[in-house]
Amino acid sequence: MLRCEGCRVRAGAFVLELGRLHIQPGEHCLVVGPSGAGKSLLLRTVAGLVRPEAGTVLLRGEDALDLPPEARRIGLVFQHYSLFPHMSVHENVAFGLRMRGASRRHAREEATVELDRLGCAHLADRRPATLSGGEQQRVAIARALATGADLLLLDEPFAALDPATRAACRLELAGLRRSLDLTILEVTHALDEAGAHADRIVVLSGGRVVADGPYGTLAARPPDLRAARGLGLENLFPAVLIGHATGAWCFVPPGSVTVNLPTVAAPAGAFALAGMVEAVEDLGPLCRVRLLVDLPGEPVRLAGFAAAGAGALSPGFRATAHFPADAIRPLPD
Amino acid sequence: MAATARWRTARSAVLPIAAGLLVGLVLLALATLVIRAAESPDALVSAAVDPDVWYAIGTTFAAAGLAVAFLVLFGTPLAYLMARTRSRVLPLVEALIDLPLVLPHTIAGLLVYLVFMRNGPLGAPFGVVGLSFEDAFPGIVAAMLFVGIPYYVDAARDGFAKVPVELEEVARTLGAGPGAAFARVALPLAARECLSGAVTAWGRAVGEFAAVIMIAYYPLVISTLIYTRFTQYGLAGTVAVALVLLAVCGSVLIVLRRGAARLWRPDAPV
Repeated sequence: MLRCEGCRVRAGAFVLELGRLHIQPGEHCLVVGPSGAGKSLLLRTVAGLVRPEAGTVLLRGEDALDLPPEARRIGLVFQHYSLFPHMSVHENVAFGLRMRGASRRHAREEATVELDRLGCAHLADRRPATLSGGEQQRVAIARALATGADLLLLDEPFAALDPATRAACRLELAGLRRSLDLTILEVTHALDEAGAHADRIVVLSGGRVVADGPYGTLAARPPDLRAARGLGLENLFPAVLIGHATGAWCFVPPGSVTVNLPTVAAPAGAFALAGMVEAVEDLGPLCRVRLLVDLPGEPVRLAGFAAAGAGALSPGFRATAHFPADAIRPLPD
Repeated sequence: MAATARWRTARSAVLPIAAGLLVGLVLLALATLVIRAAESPDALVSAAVDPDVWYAIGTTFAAAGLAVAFLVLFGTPLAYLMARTRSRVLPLVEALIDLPLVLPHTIAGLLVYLVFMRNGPLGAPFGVVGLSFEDAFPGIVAAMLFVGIPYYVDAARDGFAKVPVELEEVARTLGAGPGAAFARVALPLAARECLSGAVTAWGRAVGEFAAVIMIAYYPLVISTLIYTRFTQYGLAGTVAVALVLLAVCGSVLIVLRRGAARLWRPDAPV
């Protein structure tokens, strides 16, 4: 669907370098990274709003470098949805069809179908300013899809929604993707539940792709520190590991860490770090525990799990984190 | 507590008084004019039916309308570019646009005269096609256009600046070319400020004297007519004419301002 090869995009002093980025048809690719990593610039490049100064962009197998945005057949949804405030919901959704030469009547009919698909037909005559965040988001997606776009570019489309609405909208988007065979390139700065819906995660940092792969693989073994930070992983420690020439940092997957009362002895061969319990999150049979570890220098926090019912594990109490030695992953800088 | 209460009372009295001072000054000036004009009802009636007065009003409105039309035609793209461009030359362009605001209007008139006089850089080529600016209607339009530039361009630029660029970008991805995205999205959303700027520029043009008189004393416009009457007949021969002109111009300006404020509310919720 999309192939970017050797793209270099400049925006002021910032340079985005996309060595190789391929998105397969029907794929949901999530682009994550800290603020200023170049995520939105990547979307604007794919949308044709910014022209790379070098490299190639192939869209559906055809050279799209000089293709203007209006000729790319893509849908773009921004964080605040960017609905046209001077148009009704219906006019918003019909806009793209009218711009592509559809008659007023045909555009209205098609817009009605699209609104109906997104469950927004009852909002047709309303102005965007009167809609809730979730309604605006649905209308924005209906508008993007009304023109027959098969590639959706989403720029943090769920960031402004409350968690319940966000979860519902994500499920709806996943359903649309399956039923319409959509390809989705989504940008977010926080992975949260998004990782579960995406086929692939691309981590951007400082204008470069630092990791690319399925979430499970990347989260278990991040290739380097920048990728780990881009993924928002916890349990990153400055450490010097004997036998590892590179990397002054290491990562311990939270799933490998067991938090116990200080009186519990460490299993044979396991590391033990003592500290103060900062937070406990009840997950049913397990508790997720965050520990402020007793290490000199900068505060180091460690997330792990404890069995539920361990009453003494409350914020402010002492505890010990145990993890096997082979759970420690050295991270090159 | 008592001191706080006294401060609150003083504050609640000071603000309306301060706000009312300027309004009061304008009202006082108008009242004085009305009283002086009412002392001679015959002069008022004859001024109201004086063909020279109505000719000056017609000339002024026509020239100001034409000047604003040119401002909208050429100023709108300029304002849009200024709102959307981040360039190192932008501050220079902004300063140039605002120059007529800080220039004494006699100097603005001199600049217009230098450019549009018979052998000026624009006056000469226009003269070839028979368009003369000195002591002619086009000269009045040119002077009004020049002094109105900042009033229209600044307002329109502010209007375009408040339209998020993402709206146009989305419009582009939906199939609109750059022109359509401007015409269907940016312009309607900035139209209120553009209209407001146009009305202000029109008002400024109607009241322009110094810049106009430098290039075109004739045909007489409202401001030059008042000046002429004042120098020829003194106060007694001017107040009645001034009141008629004031009534007409004030009424038109109020109608235009209310129209600009009420008629165009594109983003109002339904």
